[in-house]
Amino acid sequence: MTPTTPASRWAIALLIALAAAPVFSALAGQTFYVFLLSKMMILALAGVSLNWILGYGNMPSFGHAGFLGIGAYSVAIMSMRAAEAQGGWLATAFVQLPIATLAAAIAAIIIGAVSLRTRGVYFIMITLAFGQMLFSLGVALEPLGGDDGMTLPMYSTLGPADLSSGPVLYYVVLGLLVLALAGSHRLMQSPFGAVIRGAKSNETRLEALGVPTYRYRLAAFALAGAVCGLAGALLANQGGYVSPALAAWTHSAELVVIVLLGGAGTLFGPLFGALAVVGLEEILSQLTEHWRIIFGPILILVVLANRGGISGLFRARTNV
Amino acid sequence: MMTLVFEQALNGVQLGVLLFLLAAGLTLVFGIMNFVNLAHGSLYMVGAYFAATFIPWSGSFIVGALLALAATAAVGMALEVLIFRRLYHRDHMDQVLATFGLILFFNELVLMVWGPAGLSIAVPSWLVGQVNIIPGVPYPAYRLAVLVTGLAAAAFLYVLVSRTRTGMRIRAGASDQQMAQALGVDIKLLFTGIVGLGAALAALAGLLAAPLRSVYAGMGEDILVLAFVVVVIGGIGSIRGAFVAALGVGLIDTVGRAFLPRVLDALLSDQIADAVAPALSTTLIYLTMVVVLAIRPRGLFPAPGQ
Amino acid sequence: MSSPALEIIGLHKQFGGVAANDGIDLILETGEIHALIGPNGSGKTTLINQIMGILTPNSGEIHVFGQNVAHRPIHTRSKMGVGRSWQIPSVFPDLTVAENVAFGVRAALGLSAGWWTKALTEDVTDRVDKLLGQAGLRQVMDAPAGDLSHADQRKLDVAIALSSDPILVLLDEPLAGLGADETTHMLTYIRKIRANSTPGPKRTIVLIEHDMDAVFALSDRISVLVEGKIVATGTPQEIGQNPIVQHAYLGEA
Ligand SMILES: Nc1ncnc2c1ncn2[C@@H]1O[C@H](COP(=O)(O)OP(=O)(O)OP(=O)(O)O)[C@@H](O)[C@H]1O
Ligand SMILES: [Mg+2]
Repeated sequence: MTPTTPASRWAIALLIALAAAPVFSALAGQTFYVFLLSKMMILALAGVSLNWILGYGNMPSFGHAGFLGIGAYSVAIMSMRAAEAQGGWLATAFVQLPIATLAAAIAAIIIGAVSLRTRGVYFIMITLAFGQMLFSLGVALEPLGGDDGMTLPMYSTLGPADLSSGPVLYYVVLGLLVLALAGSHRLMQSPFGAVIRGAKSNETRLEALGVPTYRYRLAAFALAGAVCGLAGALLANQGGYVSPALAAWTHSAELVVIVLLGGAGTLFGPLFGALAVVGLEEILSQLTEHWRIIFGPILILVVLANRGGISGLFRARTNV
Repeated sequence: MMTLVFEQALNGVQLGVLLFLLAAGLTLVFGIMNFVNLAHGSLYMVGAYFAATFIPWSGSFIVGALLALAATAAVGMALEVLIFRRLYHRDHMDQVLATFGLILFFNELVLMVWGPAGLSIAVPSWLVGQVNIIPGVPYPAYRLAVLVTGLAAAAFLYVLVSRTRTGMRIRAGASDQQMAQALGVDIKLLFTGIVGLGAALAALAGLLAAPLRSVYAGMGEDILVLAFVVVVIGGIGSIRGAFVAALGVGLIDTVGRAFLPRVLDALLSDQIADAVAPALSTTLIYLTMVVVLAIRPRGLFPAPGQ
Repeated sequence: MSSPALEIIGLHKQFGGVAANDGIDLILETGEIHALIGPNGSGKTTLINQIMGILTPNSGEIHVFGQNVAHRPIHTRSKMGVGRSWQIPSVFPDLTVAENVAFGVRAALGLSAGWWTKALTEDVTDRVDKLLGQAGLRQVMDAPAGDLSHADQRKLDVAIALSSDPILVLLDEPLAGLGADETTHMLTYIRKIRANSTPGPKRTIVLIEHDMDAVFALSDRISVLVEGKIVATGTPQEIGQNPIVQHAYLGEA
């Protein structure tokens, strides 16, 4: 997608609006929206990473939230240590976020190395099982609150501030999201991205051209896990709280919903998807506490309509 | 010690037959229609809720259970006609998305209809108490009844699929849809029937488990993943594989949770054992699945042509 | 003496009850066009699937330029100079025509697929341009491959096979589904492939084809496959006169 399609124009307008949103919500005294939009953008970031493997590549991972869990728990562990030492280098975001990212990357390499031996439904199921394994590990981690999870003893610090501050977290997240989208564009136009996209439709042919696809797919899986770990680290700071539920398969399913609803394999799809999911939840839950009884059928209708998600709607409009 | 091992093994088999009842429907629908149905766990839950309603209403465990099976089968068939059949030729992820929508819908629906508190089903009076399976080894009668019912259902399914005309049609549908059509099998009706059968089996699992666990919104999601693990280990589409894998997973999970801590205690220092045991015993079945798939990427009994 | 381009010894491939390849022996000298003919289902595609590495033989050996490759992965065989086309055109439908041939070009240049460079750098586009020019696809190079006509997909399929600059080229029915003009174009194209304008050894070609006029016009030698066995090998003249062949295969033509 070149930056001049209708979908990308909307997306860029949306990003500009997001950059201005905290100012307006401060003026209106509605800081809640800063909190909500932070969460939306973190989910979009996780969605961008899932889109690389699920959308562009043929790697329908159903355990991606496991990496959110790893990122979040990495921050929780470091923040516990930092709280014991009353601060120090381990407390800063510059240390915590890269370590959380790295931890998720390592896990993703191991999980990917095994999972990528399988195909199709088996791949969906083995990634699901790995995700549940991480979830069960979280439940078994009694020192970190087991089933219930734990409150972060201290937030990641950023110079004189820390990520407990709504606007600070907000702009960190927005900055990282914009970076991830730019990186996503560049990556998918690169030879690496071409291999990932090519392997989606015709892996055998790529192999017959001398491309060892497994390596590249594994690299993509690891990169996606890493960035999702980063999103998890941000999510821990956004909620001030970690729990195994972050890694539960239903949470993985939500990430899949974000990617598919936005339009799998499109640059800005995950951004639209996250906005739609968080926005719908917000609007519907004001109508009724049983908002899922409406949201569920919406998902079904989206699939039955089969228009390639929200990005697909933009495309359909331009064709008319 | 011996009695404990025996009892845990029986518990393992009993979990295994419940998993098989769930996995059978999943693997049939997977194998024949190439359809990933995340909402299968919702049918398990709906079946339990129906039973929790019909059993007190009818005053009989058996009558209530049969009504619940029929009602859940009807729900399943309605889903097949309204939604599933439009998705058979679609991408697996589309199927996942749509059936995830169904999960959200059903969880919320039971909350609205039956309230947030959850329900329970009492063990029928004639199955209260213990029986001596072998002299000196008492075992709860209800658990034994679950085990026997589950095995009977498995036997029924085996005979149905491998020995009857209906089963022949099912197998024809699995191996070649066009051929089945040429044989005069009404594919649409057959598929609706298969989903209905799977739904009834899921409901049976749900209502049998209910007196041992409880009936709550979201109960399907916890067990669904185990059922998927069973299907995948067994090989998608294989009833026999599902049966073997279900018993294996049931045993590994139950026995692992019961004895792994002791084994680790004996092998490792207390401190390490205490830290590792809970994590290892809860993840044991996932590890099993990963190992099986690493060695056999299409499960133990891969269906030909899949 | 240098090793033959391809040497197959006692190759056997079983599909359930069907022996698709039943003890095949075959030697190809460097630079020849060797046609494989035989009725439908006689095991021609199965044979080249094994040479490329897409199928693993049950038994037997496959030597490419003297090295036994029977158990090497597909991509290393490509690196050794094996390339193939597909009976049913096998392109990357979502990618542009240029991107379709760029994979092989990059592999041939020894470039690994980097994360941060552009896919079509200058040295790559030069060769992409040349390949597409040769195939007659230059004017559609920015179209998604899935949008091409069948004939153009066929040309693209062959161009992709050549993109990795193979010296042992396996062509599976490159003329199937082409009209008269397109057939003429493809025949010239295949002759150009053998002539090999790039520096390096002459190309050796295995040509599977049902179009007998083309087979007799192009090939140096022909092998006839019937029910997984090679029943005759020889020059076009020898094969044309062979009574077994006439009975088993050419009889009805
Ligand atoms: N993947 C497979 N699985 C099972 N059987 C196969 C497979 N591939 C080929 N066969 C069988 O092996 C035999 C040889 O098939 P193959 O495709 O090699 O024939 P062919 O000579 O290329 O025929 P055609 O001229 O029709 O392309 C056939 O009986 C075919 O049905
Ligand atoms: Mg063929």
